[in-house]
Formats: sequence, structure tokens, C-alpha cells
Amino acid sequence: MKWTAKDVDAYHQAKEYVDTALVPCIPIGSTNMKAFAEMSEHTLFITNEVERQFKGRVMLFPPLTYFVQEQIQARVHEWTNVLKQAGFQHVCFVTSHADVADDSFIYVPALPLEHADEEYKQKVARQQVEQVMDALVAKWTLKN
Amino acid sequence: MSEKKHRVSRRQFLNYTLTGVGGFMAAGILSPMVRFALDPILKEEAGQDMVAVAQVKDITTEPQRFDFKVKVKDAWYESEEPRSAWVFKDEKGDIVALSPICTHLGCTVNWNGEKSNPNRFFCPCHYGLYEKDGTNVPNTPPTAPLHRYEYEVKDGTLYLGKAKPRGEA
Repeated sequence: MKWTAKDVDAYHQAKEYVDTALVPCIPIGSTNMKAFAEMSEHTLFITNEVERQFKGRVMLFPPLTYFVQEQIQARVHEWTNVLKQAGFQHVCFVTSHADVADDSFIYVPALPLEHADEEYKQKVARQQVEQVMDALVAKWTLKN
Repeated sequence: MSEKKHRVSRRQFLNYTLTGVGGFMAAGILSPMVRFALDPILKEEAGQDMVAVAQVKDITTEPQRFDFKVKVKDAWYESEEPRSAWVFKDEKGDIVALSPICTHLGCTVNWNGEKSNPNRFFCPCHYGLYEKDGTNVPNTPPTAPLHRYEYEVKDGTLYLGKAKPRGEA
């Protein structure tokens, strides 16, 4: 489910089934803007695709956006606590930003795919989508 | 053709002009009204076109996943949306194209997704199960069978249309 009025309605109907929060983390920088834009695009693409396949159990939140100078760990921690209190047992952060990607994140490296051909792009993207999906399934089976 | 025979009086001239202009104005007002009244008839069928998905020779009795894209028009905004289908041939040799969207909450189901339930479709979200023909397995979350795509075969290519609930397709 997405963070839209329509899907939030659906969420209220099926609250007990939706136990996973998916949060894309997007860095912004005033230098090297293009690289950050690529990361943003890539992270959002991957998380959207994961949401499409796991619609019934995952709520895709609006991205957690931060400046590269910021300390992100504290905010991630805060978001995790709040979301867990709100009933999301599994909280999952996805990022393409290598500098912050520790164990609390699922890291999906953004490749400079601008000039790659369409087929290769799709293949890489699909692999990463599967990687995120596998990580989620692993979380689910661990708890049950 | 002398000018005298075809003399148009000032009164006649004004009459003609006013009738003409009035006619145009009336037409301008009435035609949108008529158009609105007839609109539902003139509207195109909302269903989307059939999309080429696979070659018939590639379809086996084992369900395979095919990905394709459909054009979706939302008012003025046109976009391409990815879709998938599980396609196989049943015992009679008929093609079956199932939508992978779980009828429970809309996750994507997998064929043989779980070891302990072979030859069934499995939904990883809430462990829903479907038989090969798309029928939901009782006592799992889904309450309806998987939807089926409308299909047609032209020159050895499989075209898929809309996914419809069982019984309608």
C-alpha cells in the first residue's frame, strides 16, 4: 500500500494484515547533485516495485529525506520506534547512499545506468527488487 | 442578369443576415447539448487493447510468468504499467492466463513458491494458496479464485486483455 488517501482507507480495513513499513531514505547534497538525484530515483523505483508485489502486507511510506551533513542514524531510530508503536512490526529502510548504509538499511546501490541499455537496466533493477523482497520475506519468516 | 431584377431591399437584407447569424448561434448552443445527450453512445469502449505477451510455442503445461506492459490512460495522463501473467496449458490443451494478483490484498503470487505446497500458487504475504487452475485453497486468507485474463491467439502469438474474476472471463 502506498501513502495515499485511497490506500490508507484500505489499510484501516485490513490493519491486522499490514505489519511492514517500507521507508526509502533519500539523501540530498548541494554538491554532486546529479549523483544524489540518481540515488533518489533509483531508491524510489525499487521501493515502488517492491510495494507493487507486496501490496497486501507492506506500507510504502513517503521518503525519509535528509541532507548529507545530517546525522541520519538518530532519525532512523526515531522513525523505527514511532512506526513500531503504530503497529508496524517490521520496519525496513532502503537506501542507495553507501555512506549511511549499515545493518539497519537494505542497501541498493544506484548504478550509473543512464547510458546502459534498457534490458541491462531492467535486469539489475529486478535483481535488486528481489533482494529487497527476499530480505522482507526473511524478516517475516523469522518472526513467525 | 440586370441588377434591377435582383434588387434586395434593406429589409430583406437584414432579414437574411439575422436569420443566418441567428441560425449559427442556435446551432452553436444546441450542438453541445445534443453531443452531451448522445455522449455515452459515442464513447469508445473503455476496455484496453489486447497486448502481445508470448509465443504460443513457449507455453507449456507448467505455469510460466510473463511480464508485459499496458498503456493506462488516466484523464490526460498516459503511462505504462507493468503487468504479469502466469500462463500455461491445461489438460485439454487450452491456454489459461492467470493474473498474479492475490485476491486477498493484492500481493503477487508465485508458482511453487513454498516447498511444502508443491504445484500451487503461493502468496508470500499471508500464505494464501491457490490450486493450479487458480481456485483458492480453503482455510487460507484469499476468498476468491485468481482472476483470469481474456486472451486471444493470432499467428502463434498470445494476446492478453483484461483480467476478470472467474466466471466472467
